[in-house]
Amino acid sequence: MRNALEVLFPMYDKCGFCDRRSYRNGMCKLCLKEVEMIRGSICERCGRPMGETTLCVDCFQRKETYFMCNRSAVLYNDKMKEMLSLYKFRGQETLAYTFSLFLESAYRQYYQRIGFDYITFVPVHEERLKERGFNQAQQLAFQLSLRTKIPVISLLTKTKNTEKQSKKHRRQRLHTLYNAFHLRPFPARIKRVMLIDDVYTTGTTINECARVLNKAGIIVYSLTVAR
Amino acid sequence: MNFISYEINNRTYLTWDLSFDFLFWAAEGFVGDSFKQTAEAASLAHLEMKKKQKAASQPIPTTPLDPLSLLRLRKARLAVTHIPRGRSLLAEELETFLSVAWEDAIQLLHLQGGVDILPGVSLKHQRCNRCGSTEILPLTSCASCGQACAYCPSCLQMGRAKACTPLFYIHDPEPKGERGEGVQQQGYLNWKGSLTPAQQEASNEAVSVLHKEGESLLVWAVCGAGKTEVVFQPINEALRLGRKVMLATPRKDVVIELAPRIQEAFPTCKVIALHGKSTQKWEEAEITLATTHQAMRFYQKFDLVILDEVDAFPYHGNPILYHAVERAKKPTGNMLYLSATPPRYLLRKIPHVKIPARYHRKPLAVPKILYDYKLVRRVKNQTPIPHIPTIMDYIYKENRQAFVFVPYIEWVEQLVGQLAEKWEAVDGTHSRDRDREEKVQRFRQGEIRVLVTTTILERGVTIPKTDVVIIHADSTIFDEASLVQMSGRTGRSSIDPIGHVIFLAAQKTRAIKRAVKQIQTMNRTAKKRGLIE
Repeated sequence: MRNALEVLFPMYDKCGFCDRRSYRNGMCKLCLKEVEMIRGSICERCGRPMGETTLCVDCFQRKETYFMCNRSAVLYNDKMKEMLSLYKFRGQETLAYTFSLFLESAYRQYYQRIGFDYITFVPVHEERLKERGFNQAQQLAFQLSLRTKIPVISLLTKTKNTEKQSKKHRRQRLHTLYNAFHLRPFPARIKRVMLIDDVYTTGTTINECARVLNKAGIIVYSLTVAR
Repeated sequence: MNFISYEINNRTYLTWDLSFDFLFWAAEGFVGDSFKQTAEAASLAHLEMKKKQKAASQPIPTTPLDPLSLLRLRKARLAVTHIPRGRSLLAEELETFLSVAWEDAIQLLHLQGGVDILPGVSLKHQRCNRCGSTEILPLTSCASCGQACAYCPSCLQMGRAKACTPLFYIHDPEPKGERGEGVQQQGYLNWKGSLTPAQQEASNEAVSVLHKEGESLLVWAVCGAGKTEVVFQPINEALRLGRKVMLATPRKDVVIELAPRIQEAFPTCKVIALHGKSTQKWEEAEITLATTHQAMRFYQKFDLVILDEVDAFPYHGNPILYHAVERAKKPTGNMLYLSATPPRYLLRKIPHVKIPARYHRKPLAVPKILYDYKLVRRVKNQTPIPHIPTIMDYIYKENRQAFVFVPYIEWVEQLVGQLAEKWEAVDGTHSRDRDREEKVQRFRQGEIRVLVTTTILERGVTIPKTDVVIIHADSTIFDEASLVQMSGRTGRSSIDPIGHVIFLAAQKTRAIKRAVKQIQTMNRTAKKRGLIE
């Protein structure tokens, strides 16, 4: 019945970025053309696309890595920058759906076999949350949870209100984020969690979150939309 | 932000900080027992939907007027003088402008009756109070107000209007003295050009409308009839009567281009141009040029609002959005609409005056329809379209230029590929093209002979000696207005006053029929009035 109705009155999704008819992943053909999916061989640790499957320079040089690995769905190119800033800073919340589709495809590709206990997300400071009205990583985690049937748990809080990471250099990033995250009370038996964030650039945020979670004996895999 | 509503002396006020209100009433020397709190604290949109609680009158809590609170009041009084008047602003816009004591200042003005506080998005009416759009997204949980909340996606680019962010309608106090006091005898217009008889007639009509309170007029001028010149005399008349004028147009580049022309015509007046990146947003002026988005930031400020290209985006097929711009005019003010292709609902509502001919006294080019029922397949499969070689050969032989309009962005590349094989200097552009402006510039200079484009170039670009070809004119994307606009790209100069318009279509649609009829009617009217030879 439903299929019959769909044939008679096809409902189509709109592209999350423009208003054209969506083609795949909640985006229209033209927008999708500008998005570069990550395929082929990648860095084992951080999911960066590379010629061969080894460690990339950044991961090799990093002193301590606390997360098992990171995987991302798409490249952080100009188009993605535009889309993420529309989502995060302008507040176009409908894009959460589009991004969660990207996350899902990356999850199916890399993480399907790993049995996660929970999905968790990178927190936002309370003041920032008040100002923005939503936590982008939380929204993405919820959307992904709906599609993968893995429950979401909020494990972290951010206690330092730091400036935007995107405005800083690599070394500054680590410095400001040190001890910015704290653990919340949680049920005892958690083995593996999937940490969700919107973008992985230097990996400082993810690593710092993972450090806190590692201390509590939780293994962290992270999944981000863009890399 | 959560608000409380209360009544004093049967007048309702909204506040998010009762202590300031009590301070204000104490300073006013207002004591008594007529205070009633009518609703619990909630976000504005929720407050609007709540039933008024029945509460017993209470005495107004007295606030001691100690130096500290007096200082707070004085700070607020000082900040009030900086609040721009006659605007509709979101809290965050006001905050970035004032930054110090803005909450107290706007509250003070509210208590004095100078500000209406509304939710950015009204959940009761399912409408955005700023842009008037009724496409509100489903409710989501909002971390700012902690309640179910919604935002308006239509005016997102001007900052997020949410159900919990207050929108302030700041009234513009009427200048003291009677209306029509400082009337100047001579005007401000310093313009040497002359109007055609049809333009003059429309101009006179517009001037006479100014003397009737609250009246509107639609000037229906064919493409290239010179709408801008028509508004000079009405603007002059309004300025002479000591009134404020705003000219709103949908496109930013038109605002930038128009500003020096208006300034030249009115050398002694202050003219400001408002668009997204403008630095003059908070200035006061006699003549304000604004994009329609910026026009939404005003509230009952102007006596004459001229709305250019009323049928263009963002109004296209969305009559509600007019209200957002009409809000910029005072209730007694006048509205002047300009359009080449006015929508039907506007024609029904408002009296109009026509300018059916261009200054060179030649008729408009009537579209010629060529049928090809395999057209869509041919474009998609990249097989040659039979009529195209004839048209292109003519264009190159006669040394002309041409617009080729297509309905979809994807077709631009396909068609350019097909044409570039045989003919030189062919290029294409569309809304996502980063070099669009550069290509239009090259087209103007004649380096590009044939420009394949989507509807984005249907307005504004005028080039002498051009023809227009519309591929798949029966597409649902092209309505009557856009077909007329595209046809209006031809014959703009006296060197080549008519030009050719060709519609390639598989069938005749209602839009095609109406567009052709509209052009023919205009030509007939012009002939009857002796405006064309």
